[in-house]
Amino acid sequence: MTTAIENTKSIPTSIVTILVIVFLGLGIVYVAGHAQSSTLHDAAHDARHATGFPCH
Amino acid sequence: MIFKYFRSAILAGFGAGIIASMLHLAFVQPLLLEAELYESGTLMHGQQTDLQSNEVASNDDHDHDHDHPSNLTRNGLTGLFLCLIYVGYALLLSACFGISELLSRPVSKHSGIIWGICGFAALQLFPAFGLPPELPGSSAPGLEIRQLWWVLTALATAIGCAALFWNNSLFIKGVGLAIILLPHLIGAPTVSEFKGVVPPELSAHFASRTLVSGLIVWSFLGVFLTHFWLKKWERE
Repeated sequence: MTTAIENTKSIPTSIVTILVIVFLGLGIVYVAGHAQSSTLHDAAHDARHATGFPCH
Repeated sequence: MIFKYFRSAILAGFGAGIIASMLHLAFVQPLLLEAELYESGTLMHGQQTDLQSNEVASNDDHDHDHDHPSNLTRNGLTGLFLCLIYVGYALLLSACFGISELLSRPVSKHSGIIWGICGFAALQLFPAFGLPPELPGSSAPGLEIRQLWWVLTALATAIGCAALFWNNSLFIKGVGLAIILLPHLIGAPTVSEFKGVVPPELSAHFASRTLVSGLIVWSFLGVFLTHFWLKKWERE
């Protein structure tokens, strides 16, 4: 019974954790790969070309 | 719990980023620098030139639109951003590990390379099927429409891979394949005429080098991430 209750609690917790990780991962990929501020673009220029992001 | 994701992703992402940086500097950067000579007009496609001497010149008086103070700074930033990109990818892959475990499909010790190849397919290979890796000086349609197509294709490929690997129903596997194909059937944005100043031989070489490097780095990323994900740390 206790295990069952723990399991029902841990699944929503895991989902929230996964959502936070996805959000952070997408944020980093957006900043490093897609954001077009000129400073970011210039700094990430070669890395973007090398990893196949549309750059210019 | 969340520290397991951060710890695995940061270690694996930096490991893969370092390998990516080494491959980049050895094999990809020379092609980028050469392409920038065509982009800046220092070299002209079809004109007889001494490539060796120009390659040397490119290191000294590199004239490009982007303001890079020195080769050291430029290469350092590239290495930093490659690490950052692969940490971001590792976070996304670790989230997939978490979902897989929720679906009672725990990550196995030897599955790392498969995870890596799926990540490569979603975030580099299938987007490149429609939008080939670009050298500076290549002609391309509008940036925003390409970014949108890139994001949708990556998403469709990831969903398709999930449908292929996370269930046993042939019907859902078929739907997964259809989702992977959909953006390519719709078609990537294309240019109406080819105005690029970079020689096609150079672009083709660049495309093959970036894709093979990507496959290698993603394979390492999958293996590293699986290793750190499954590792029992002393304090646990």
